[in-house]
Amino acid sequence: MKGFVDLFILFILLIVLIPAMLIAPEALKYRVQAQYLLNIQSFTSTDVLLSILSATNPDELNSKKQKPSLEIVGERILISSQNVEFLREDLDKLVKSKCYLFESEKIKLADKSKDCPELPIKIKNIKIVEIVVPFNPTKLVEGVKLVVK
Amino acid sequence: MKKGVSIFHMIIFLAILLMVGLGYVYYIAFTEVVNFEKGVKETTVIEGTNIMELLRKNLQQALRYSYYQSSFEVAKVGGNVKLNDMPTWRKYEDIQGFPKDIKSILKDRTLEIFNKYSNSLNDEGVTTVEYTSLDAVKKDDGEYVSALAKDKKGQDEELQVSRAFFYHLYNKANTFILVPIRTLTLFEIGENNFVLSDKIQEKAIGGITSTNFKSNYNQKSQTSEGSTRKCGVNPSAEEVFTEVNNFGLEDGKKNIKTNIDLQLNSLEKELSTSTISTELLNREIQSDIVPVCAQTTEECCFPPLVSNILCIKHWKRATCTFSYFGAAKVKIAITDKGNKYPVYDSADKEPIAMRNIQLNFNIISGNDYSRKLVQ
Repeated sequence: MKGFVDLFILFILLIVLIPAMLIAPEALKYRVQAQYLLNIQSFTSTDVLLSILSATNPDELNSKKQKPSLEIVGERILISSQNVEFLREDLDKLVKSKCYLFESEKIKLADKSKDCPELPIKIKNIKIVEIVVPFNPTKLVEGVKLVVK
Repeated sequence: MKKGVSIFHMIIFLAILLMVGLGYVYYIAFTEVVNFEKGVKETTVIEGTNIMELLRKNLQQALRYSYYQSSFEVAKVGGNVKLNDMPTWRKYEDIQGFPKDIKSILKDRTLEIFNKYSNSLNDEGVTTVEYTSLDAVKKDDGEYVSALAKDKKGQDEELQVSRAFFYHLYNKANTFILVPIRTLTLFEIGENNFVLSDKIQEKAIGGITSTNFKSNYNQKSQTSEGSTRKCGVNPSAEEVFTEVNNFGLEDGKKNIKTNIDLQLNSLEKELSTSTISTELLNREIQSDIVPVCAQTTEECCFPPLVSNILCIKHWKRATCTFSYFGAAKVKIAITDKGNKYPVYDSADKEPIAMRNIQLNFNIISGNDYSRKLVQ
C-alpha cells in the first residue's frame, strides 16, 4: 500500500513538474514579448509624434512659407482655424496601420480608412505630449495626443 | 528490501529532478526578469531621450513665440513699453523721446516671456531652468536669437530629464534659433530716418518753398489776365502738405523696400489728429511778357511769321515764389509686410491673431527748428 502511495505521489509530481518545466519559460517569454511589443508600439507612436512635429510644412493659411509643424499646429490650436489636414500625408506615411487619431482639446484629425476600427477600442498605443502654443496670458502649453489603432 | 530501495531511489531521483527542474525554471525566470528589467530600463532611457528632444524643440519654438510677442509689443508703442503710449521720437532738434535702449527693451521683454514658457514646461521628471540673458543679432534671412542660462558661477545650467530613479539625462539649456522676422531692421529704419536724420524735414516740409508749389501757381496764372493778383493768395496748410503722403525709404539692401513700406498716414487723417501749420514768410513776384495769340488755330508766334495769324495781345505772366515756414506732427508707422506672426493683443476683439509687426511713433518737425509752431 505504501509503495502504491509513493508511486502515486511520484506520478502526481511528474504530472505537475514536467508541464511546469515546459510551460513556465514559454509563459515568461510570452510576457516579455508582449511587454516588448507594447514598448515598441509606444515608441513608434512617440517617434511618429516627434517626427511629425519636427518636420516642416508650408503654412497654407498664412504666408505659405515653410514653417516647423510644431509652430503650425500651435497656431492652429489657438487661432480660429483648427484645420490640421496638412499632417495627414505624414501620418499616412509614418503610421504603418494607417489607423490613427491625432487630437488635442481643439483639433482633431482621424484616419479616413473604413477598415480602421472606431474608437473606443482597446487602445494599446497612445502617446500624449505637450507642445508650446503662441503667447497668451492663460495657457502656454497644450497636450496633443496620437492614438495608433 | 528491493522494493524499499526502489522507492528510496525514486524519491532521490525525484528530488534531484525537482531541484534541476526548479533550478531551470528559476534560471529562466531570473534571466528573463533581468532581461526584462534591462529592456524596460533601456526603453525608459530612450523615452527620456525623446522627452529631452521634444523639450529642446519646445524651447526653441517658445523662443520664437517670445520674440514674436516681444517684437509686436515693443514696436507697437515705439519702445515706450512702460507708459504703453506712442512716444514722440523727435521734437524738432530734440531727440530725447527716442528710446536709445529700444533693443534692450526688446531683449528684456523676450527674456521675460521666454522664462514663462520655460516654467510652463517644467513637469514631473522634467526640470527646466531660469534663463539669465538674451541676445538678438540681425542676419540676412532673419534675426538670430540666443537665450543663455548661467548659474552664479557663470557656468551653463542644464535641463534635466529623470522619469525613473535609475537615470538622469542632462542637456545644456542654452537655446538658439533663427527667427524669420525683421524687428531690428524696423528699429534701424526708424532710427536712421527720423532720429539720426530728419526725413520729414528733408523730404516733406523742407520742400514747400521750392518748385512744386511755384509751378502750380504758374499754371493757374496763365489762365487769367493780370494774374499777379493770384500771388496774393496764401496757400492753405493742406496744399502745402499735399506732397506729404507717401515716400519710400530704403535701408540700402536689396528687396527690403518691397517688403517694408514706410506708411505716413494719409494727410486727411493727419489733419484730424495732428497739428500742421504754415506761416507765410516771404513772397516774391517775377513778371515777364508773354505773347498770347487769340485765333481760331491755337498756334502762337512771336513775332508772327505767318500772315493769317494775328497776335492780338500780349499778356503778362507772373511767377510767384512763396517762402513758408511749415511744421507738422506726423504719425509714423513702419510695417514689415513680409510676414504675419501669432501674437496676443489685449486691445483687440480677437486677442490672438496673425498680425504684422508695425513700429509706431510720432515726429514733430519743421523746416526751421527755431520756430516751434507745433508742439
